Amino acid sequence: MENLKEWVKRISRLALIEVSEDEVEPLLRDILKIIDFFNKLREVNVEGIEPLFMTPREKPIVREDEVSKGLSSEEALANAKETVDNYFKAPKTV
Amino acid sequence: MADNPRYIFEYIDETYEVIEKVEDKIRSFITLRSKEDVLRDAKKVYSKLIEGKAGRLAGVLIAIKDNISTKGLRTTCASKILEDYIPPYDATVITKIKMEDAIIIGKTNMDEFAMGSTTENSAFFPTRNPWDPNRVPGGSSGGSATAVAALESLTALGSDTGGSIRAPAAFTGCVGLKPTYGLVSRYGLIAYASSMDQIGPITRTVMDSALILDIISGLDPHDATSLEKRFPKPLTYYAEKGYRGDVEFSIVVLEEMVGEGVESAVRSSFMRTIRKLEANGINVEWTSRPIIKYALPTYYIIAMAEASSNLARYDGLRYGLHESVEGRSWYEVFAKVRSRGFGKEVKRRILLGTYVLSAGYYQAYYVRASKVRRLIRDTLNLLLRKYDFIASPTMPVLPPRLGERIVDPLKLYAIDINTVLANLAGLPAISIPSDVVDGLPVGFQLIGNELREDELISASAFIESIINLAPLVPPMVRSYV
Repeated sequence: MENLKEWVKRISRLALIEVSEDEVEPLLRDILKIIDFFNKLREVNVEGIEPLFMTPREKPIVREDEVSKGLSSEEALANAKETVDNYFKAPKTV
Repeated sequence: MADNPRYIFEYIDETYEVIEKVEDKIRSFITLRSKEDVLRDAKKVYSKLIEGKAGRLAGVLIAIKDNISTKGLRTTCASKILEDYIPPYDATVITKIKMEDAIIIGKTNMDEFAMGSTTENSAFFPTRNPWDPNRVPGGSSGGSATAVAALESLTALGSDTGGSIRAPAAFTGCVGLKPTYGLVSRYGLIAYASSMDQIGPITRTVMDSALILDIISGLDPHDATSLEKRFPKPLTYYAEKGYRGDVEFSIVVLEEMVGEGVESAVRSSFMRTIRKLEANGINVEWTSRPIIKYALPTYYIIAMAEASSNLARYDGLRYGLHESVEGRSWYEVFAKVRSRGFGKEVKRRILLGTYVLSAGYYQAYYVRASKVRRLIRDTLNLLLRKYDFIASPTMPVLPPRLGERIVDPLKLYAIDINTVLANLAGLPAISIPSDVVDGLPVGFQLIGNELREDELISASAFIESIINLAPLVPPMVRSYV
């Protein structure tokens, strides 16, 4: 169980979602049940089958590489809570 | 409307009277526009009607699911993380309906980020079924369906990733159409699982769905997966053809879609519909394809994987819920805002999606599921070469009571059994009201060939006319109209 709890915490770090101590157990119960349900696919023989990631398009849409008008910086920043000189303000990453 | 342009004002008055009476009981809307704002739009449409320049949706009120971006009108995805988000642009479908003079009445409730089948997963409040307020309306486009069913709106747009248009349409007695993947642009639709998401209509009749789909479909340079429509005539033409009975088609039923997990009341109702079709000269054959049993886990693995990737964008910096960044690490800021902003089911799906894509498990889950996806698509396409449509009950159960399914995620996922197939395979599918059992609506699903919405609409119009349930009005609303 402790190992499994550690495993949930590792996944939650990857997903950038905090899981509190008292959330871990109920979450783990649900997740294990769902993974068990996913494991049903092991019964299917998929040898030699190419994966299908999306239904195929006849031809992809391409466009000329031309400058076009997008959002103004005012519009783009309208929903941001912290900005500096017309930029989004972000936390320090390095 | 063209003969009597003034009727537009009367119609808006009547609609707001209905909303006044039923909205408290069912709660279709997250954001309802004020009558004054709607009347202001109506005046412009009125002038166009007088000048004879009005579009095909002049005088139509339309409810929009709250994951479709509307410029200047709050779009929340029923999530706390987007609670105050006001899009700076319109989705392509919104641009298109506005060009035809439709008036948006409001933004409808849904399961958060479209993750759910009951509209109980909204971060704000659940929506209730107008046929019985103790029951769910289906989801995730629950508010769009209840708005139409309860006459709060003439028509609505929803989105469907694994049944989110068809499930609520079936549970509320509406028509719901999920188009071929790519027929409708996804530009401006807030992404859940991009390889399966499609926008489509929820309406009172097949004809209305045909008209809306005519307007919103087609190639869009903003969506690289969008497709050109190649129907020789407008889709409304094919609906008329169906109503006239000018159709010929065959149907196949898969045992797996009416077997285990399908309630007996739903199964008997489905059989009655099949017998009606047969009595009207439609050839119905039965067969079995065991691979269908694996559709549900296949769908959920792929949907969660794509969701975990799509929802990685929510960091609170550019829009939505915010954490102050000053002096804090990026991990702390992002993890905190996401943990506060996402609801339980969304977190669960992001975590599971992260897991099935993580090193060491990617092949075992995501790639394996994508291989099964191909097997399922090939199986359905092969059947659809021989038969025109695959028919099934849209939902395996009557609308559940609130709280009944949501307690157990697997019990909740189980009701998507018949709807996920069309999304996995990219095929068009429709739910048509086919019965009322114990006072609750039942939907009949048809899955058709890729980009053959013309045929799907003809057959559906024909079925609608022989079942002849319309107009379906829930008892709660009947007393007001």
